[in-house]
Amino acid sequence: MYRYDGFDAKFVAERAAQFRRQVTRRLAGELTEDQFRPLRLMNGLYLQLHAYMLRVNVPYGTLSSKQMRTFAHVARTYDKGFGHFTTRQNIQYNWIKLEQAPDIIKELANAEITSIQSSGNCVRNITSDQYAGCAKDELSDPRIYCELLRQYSFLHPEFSYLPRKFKIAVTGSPNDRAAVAVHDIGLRMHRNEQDEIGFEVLVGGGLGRTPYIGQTIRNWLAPEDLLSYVEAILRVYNMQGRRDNIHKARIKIIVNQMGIDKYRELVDKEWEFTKNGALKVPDDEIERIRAYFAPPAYERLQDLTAELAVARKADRAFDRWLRGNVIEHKVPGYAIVNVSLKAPGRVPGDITADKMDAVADIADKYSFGEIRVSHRQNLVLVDVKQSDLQQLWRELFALELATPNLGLLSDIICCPGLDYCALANARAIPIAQDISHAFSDLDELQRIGHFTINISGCMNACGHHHVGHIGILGVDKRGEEYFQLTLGGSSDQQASLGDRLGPGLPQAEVPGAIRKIVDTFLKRREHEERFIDTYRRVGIEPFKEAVYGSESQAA
Amino acid sequence: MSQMIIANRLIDGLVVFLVSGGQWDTAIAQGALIEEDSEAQRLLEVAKQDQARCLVIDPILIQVRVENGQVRPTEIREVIRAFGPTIRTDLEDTGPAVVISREADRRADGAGHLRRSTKE
Ligand code: SF4
Repeated sequence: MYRYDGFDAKFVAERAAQFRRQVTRRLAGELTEDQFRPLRLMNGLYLQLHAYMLRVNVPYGTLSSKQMRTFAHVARTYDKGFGHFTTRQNIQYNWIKLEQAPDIIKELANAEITSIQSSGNCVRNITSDQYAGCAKDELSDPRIYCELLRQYSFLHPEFSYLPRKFKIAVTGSPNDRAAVAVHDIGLRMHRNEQDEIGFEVLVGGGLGRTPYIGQTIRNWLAPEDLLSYVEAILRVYNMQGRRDNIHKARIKIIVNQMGIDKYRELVDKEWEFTKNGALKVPDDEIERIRAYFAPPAYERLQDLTAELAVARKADRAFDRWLRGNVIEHKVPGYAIVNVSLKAPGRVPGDITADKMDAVADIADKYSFGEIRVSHRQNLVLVDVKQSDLQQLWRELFALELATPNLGLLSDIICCPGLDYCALANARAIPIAQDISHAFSDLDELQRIGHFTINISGCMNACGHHHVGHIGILGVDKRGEEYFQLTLGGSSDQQASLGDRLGPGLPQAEVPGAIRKIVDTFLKRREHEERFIDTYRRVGIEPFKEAVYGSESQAA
Repeated sequence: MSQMIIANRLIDGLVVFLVSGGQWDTAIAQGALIEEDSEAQRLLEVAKQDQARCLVIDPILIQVRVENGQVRPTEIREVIRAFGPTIRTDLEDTGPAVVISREADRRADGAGHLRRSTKE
């Protein structure tokens, strides 16, 4: 894991002290809210419906058990005993008091965690594959490049006041688990014809009010050119991006207005000046960062296929969990374990302080003290010995963290919505709760197969609704909450935006509509098709008819 | 329809209502019911002075209705601000859950303060 060096530690401590002075001045009446708001936002502190909300970065979703305990401590001491993991692999606390925020930020800094740049028009937390460094299908660990970019973009003076926020995601695997195509910049590692590892660079992806899938601006970029090229993209955006209209300020708007070829031309022109300059990343710098992500001391083990088969046969629940939530590891004898934060009827991504502590203890015991956060709002233990799986499963099961629903219909992505968020049109959490409750039968979930439901409480799309197989968007219809469904979205390597199904539905009708969509899928499904395959084959009409009937379809 | 003034308290962000004596209270039941528009504007000015004095943030007038003796905002957003998140706890199959209704908190410790209760 990356550890702060002397500079990082000193800087973050200074920032914490500075923030304390700012809060003191605000509370003493020396700063107005208009003066203070940008200062608190620079530290990730928002004002929501019921309290302040603090968003804390989990760089590329990697955490130590010690940091998880710090999260638990903050939840218990300063919040209501829980936290919420988000689609940006961060954690949010919903019940923060302004007067205590400086203490929290100081405690986080002591554990090498910050909330700096978790808000504002700057480069936000760089997200990645939650299985980074351990996935069997990975070319190289993407976190090295995430960290390189993090260090480069952290408080970069030129890019601290971009036209709008800027999100970068990196995947080191051809199977995209980081949704890179819906980021301002998406980096996809792959090999060129000379068998060298580099990046396909996508630009201009994003969700929100005007969703776009990112377009390829460069087919292959050498790692040594990563910083200069990303800088060229950022600089062109900083100059060309619109500052007159917040809804048109993201990079996706200018990329799509001027066209990718024109944008590429501007970037290349800019890059000419810098590509052979100080930003060239020397190999030894990459190696220096790589050392922070050195694999743990794995034992030499064999895969335990036969032994596990016996255990699975003897225990159906263990078998189900193993098939559902456990992923192959690149090292023989090890496995990647997904910890579901999606028990039926629960709030997706929420976890109590006690469970955070328990997960930290489990990580120490079974997974070299490391925990990952996925953008799908689950946790991951990436380095578990196969021989420990059954015992680990028992412990997770007792904590209600072993729902075997990874990638199934009840593994719902959901933003905080109108229960907390000041920008929301409608509630998202109760919808997620209703759906996961209605679809809690594990046999049924398995029969339905891979299925994603993503819910956002407003157009800002924090719940990535455009890229859910079913997307649910909360809208305000004359003061009432309504929910607009989209079908056919996907955020993987074949990313697509969902199509609107029809008029919005009241909350009570949503679970029934989901049921009709699922029934239609099961009727139309061929072989072992996933919902998304069937949808792409048959189109939206059968689903429209199922939900609205043939009459309203004509209307 | 009556009106009421709602804001967030600066120090902790909690939702507060303007009381007739000019103070702020976290319970909507304590909030001053305003019937006349002129009175609403006058009290909003008072509230804005409290904003200038760094006591509250964003005071606004909201519409409320009295139903069965309970004051309730007409808009869902303000209902949620007044009574807390609507996270459902009746759907859980088993095990502990965090109950975070402000009403429940208030009943539990009488102060509208933050508290976690578990359903174990
Ligand atoms: S999508 Fe809207 S409601 Fe949901 S968290 Fe984002 S801004 Fe808030």
